[in-house]
Amino acid sequence: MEDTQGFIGLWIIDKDSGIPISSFEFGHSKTDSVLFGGFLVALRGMAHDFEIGQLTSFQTDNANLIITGSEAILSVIAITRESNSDCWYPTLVTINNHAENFYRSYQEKELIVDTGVNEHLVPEFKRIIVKNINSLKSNFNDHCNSKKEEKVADKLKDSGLW
Amino acid sequence: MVDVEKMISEILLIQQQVSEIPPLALIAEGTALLVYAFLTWNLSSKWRSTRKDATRNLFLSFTLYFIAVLMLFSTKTTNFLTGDEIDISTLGINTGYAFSLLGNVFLYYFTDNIFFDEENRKTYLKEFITLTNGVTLGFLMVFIFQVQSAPFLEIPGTYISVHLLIWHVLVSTVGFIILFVKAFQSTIKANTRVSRGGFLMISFSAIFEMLVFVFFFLDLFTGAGYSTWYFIAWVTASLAGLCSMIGYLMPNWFRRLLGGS
Repeated sequence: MEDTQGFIGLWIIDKDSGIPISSFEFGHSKTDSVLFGGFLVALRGMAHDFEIGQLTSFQTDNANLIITGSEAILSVIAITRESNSDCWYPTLVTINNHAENFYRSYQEKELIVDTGVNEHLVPEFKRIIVKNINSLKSNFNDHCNSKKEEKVADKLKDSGLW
Repeated sequence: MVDVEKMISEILLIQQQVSEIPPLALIAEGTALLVYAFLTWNLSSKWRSTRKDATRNLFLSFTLYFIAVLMLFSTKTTNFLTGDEIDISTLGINTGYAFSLLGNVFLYYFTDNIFFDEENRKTYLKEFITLTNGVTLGFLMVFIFQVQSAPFLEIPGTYISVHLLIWHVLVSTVGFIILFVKAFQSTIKANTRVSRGGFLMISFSAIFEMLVFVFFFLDLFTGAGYSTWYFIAWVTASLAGLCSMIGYLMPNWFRRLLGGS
C-alpha cells in the first residue's frame, strides 16, 4: 500500500447547505460525501447552538478530522491518529483557498457546481497532497518529530495513565 | 492429646533452629512487595476505568512482577520461620523468575502500544521477544518441576542454572533497552517539564528493572549466597517500582513539583 504519511481523505463542502463540492481519497472512494457533508454541517450547528465554540476538529478511534473554513466552503481532512495534525494543517489551508476561489468564481457566474465540474479540482488537490506527502517524507525528522513526542504523551493520557 | 503435644514440641523445635536466611533479606523483599502491591492496585483501578490495551498490558506486567515478588517473599518467609525445615525458597526463586519474565513480555507489549506506531513499528520484534521469553520459560519449567526425576514434582528443586540465567538476563535486557531508548528520546524531545519528568521516570524504571536481573545474576555468579549484590538487587527493584509509580501514574504531587496543574 502507498505511503500517504497518514492522509486518509479530503472533503470540500458548502458551508451552509452541506452539499459536497469535491472530495479526494487515494484508491477507491469509501465515503458517502453527501451524508458526510450533512453530518458535518449538523455537527457545526450543534456546536453553535450549545455555545461551545467553533468545531475545528474531532477524533474517532482511528482518525483525526481537521476542519477549516472560509466564506463559502468548509474543507475537512482526515488523517490517522498517529499523524501530526500540524503537519497537515497548512496543506488544508492551501487546498481550502484554492477551492474557495474556484467555488466563488462559479457562484459569481451563477453556475451550478456539479460533479462533472468538481472533477477538475481533483488533480490539483492530488498535486498539493502529494507535494505535502513528499515534503513530510524528506523532512520528517526535522519537521514533525518534536510533535511526535506529544503524541506519545497523548497516548499515555488516553490510556488513563497521565 | 499425645499427638497435639508432639506437634507442639515439633513446632517449638523447628523455631529453635536458625534459618540461613538473614532477616534483612525478608525486610528487603517485604519492602519491594509493598511497593509492587501499591503499584499493581493503582494500575488495576486505571485499567478498570479505561479498558485500554496499553493500560491492560502494563497492569498485567506489574501484576506478574507482584506475584513474582510474592512467591519469593512467601517461600523465603516460610523457610525463615521454620528454620529451613520447610525448604521451599528455591522453588520460590524459580517460579519468581517465571512470573517476572511473563511480566517482561507484557511490559514490552505496553512499550509497543505507547512508543511505536504504524510508521516506526519494528517488524516481528514483538513476536521475537515473546518467543525468546517462551524459550526461557520452557527451560525454567525443568528447574521448577524437576521433570527428569521421579516423582514428577520434587521440592525444593535446584537453582536456575547460570547458563539459563545469562540467557534470561540477555532476553530481558533487549525489552528494557528498547523501553529505555524510546522513553529517553521522548524525555529529550518533550515540550513540557511535566512530560519530561514523566518520561525520565519511565527511563529510570527501565534501567532499574534491567539492573535487577543483572544484580541477581551477579549474586548467583559470586556464589556466596546473600551477597551484597542480592540486597542491591532488591533495593533496585524497589526503586524501579517507585520510578514506575511516578512515571506511569504521574501523581499530583509530582505534577505540582514540576510546575504543572
